[in-house]
Amino acid sequence: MDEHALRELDAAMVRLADGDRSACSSVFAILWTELIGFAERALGRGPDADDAAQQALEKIFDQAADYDRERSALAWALAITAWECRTTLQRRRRRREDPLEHAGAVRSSTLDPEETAMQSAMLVALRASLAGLSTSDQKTLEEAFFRETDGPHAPAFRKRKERALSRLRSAWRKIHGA
Amino acid sequence: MALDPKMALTRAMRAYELGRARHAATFALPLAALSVVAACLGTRPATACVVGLALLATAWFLLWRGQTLGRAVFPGILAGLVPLALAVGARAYGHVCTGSQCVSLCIPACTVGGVLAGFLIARAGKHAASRGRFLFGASALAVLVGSLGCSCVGYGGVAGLGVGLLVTLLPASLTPRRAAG
Repeated sequence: MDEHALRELDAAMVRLADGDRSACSSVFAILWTELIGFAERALGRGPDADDAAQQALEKIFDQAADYDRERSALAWALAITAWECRTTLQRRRRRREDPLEHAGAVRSSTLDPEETAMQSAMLVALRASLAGLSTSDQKTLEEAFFRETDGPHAPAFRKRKERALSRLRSAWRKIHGA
Repeated sequence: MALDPKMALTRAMRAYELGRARHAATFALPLAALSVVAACLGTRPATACVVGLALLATAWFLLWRGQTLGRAVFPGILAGLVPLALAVGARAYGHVCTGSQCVSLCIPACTVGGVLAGFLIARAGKHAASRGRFLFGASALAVLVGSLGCSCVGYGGVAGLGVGLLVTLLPASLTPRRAAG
């Protein structure tokens, strides 16, 4: 917005604060595009940005009678819009919803996303149970399942593996019940 | 769906009117204290109530409309306090007895108060952009505030106040406006 438009907005806002209804359309014409642009930069193009800009505009007009003529009208209007955008962002975060346009980005690439989700949940649960075991048990299980163990220590190792597995089972039961 | 600017402007203007109405109410409501004070100082409670309500409504309307009418509120109330104070003083003083008869000072006090109030309003509205509106708004409030005290002898006191105001305001409204500064 250039210097001339800024001055024009300040003057129109002062008239509006004084009760001059004819300044409504001037203030609206200058502010509307600015507020929409600001809200779209903050929230992305979409209905949320439109709603935030509309809410901000209504607040600006509602509080016009209290407008401090020493302040820049644009800075004041943008401060109100920023507040509205922040409120919209908080509301969005609270309801944990995203606009449908972004749904493609979170689409699963596997054929059976439910199965994949269950497997990853099981892995998380297994990791939690493993974390409850001692370091030596963890090492034993790692060796048992990821390395070939053979030779004179094999029977003793098998015993250690059995004990570690039984402790893992009881840890699993303690956390997950079955 | 993109917002319709016409709809947005309509909603904004509705918000503006509501905001102004609330703002006007915030400033007008404390005026209720004047009628309470007047009632405590001897004005009939019913009169104080009716005039107080009229005062609130007028002040609210002028503040809501804003511009020249809004700017007339403070000088109008201030000017109205003069006849109110004089009427309350006259009531406290009582009657002046001159041998055969006793006369209440209320009407003369209200007339003098009206003249002084008119003088104050005329001075305040010297540079008003729309002088007619300013004088009308301010004198309406001055009459209402003054009436809280000038109703001491019924309509006579209020009439005295009105005459006093007219005496000063009529010539002031006819003289050409001086430029500000």
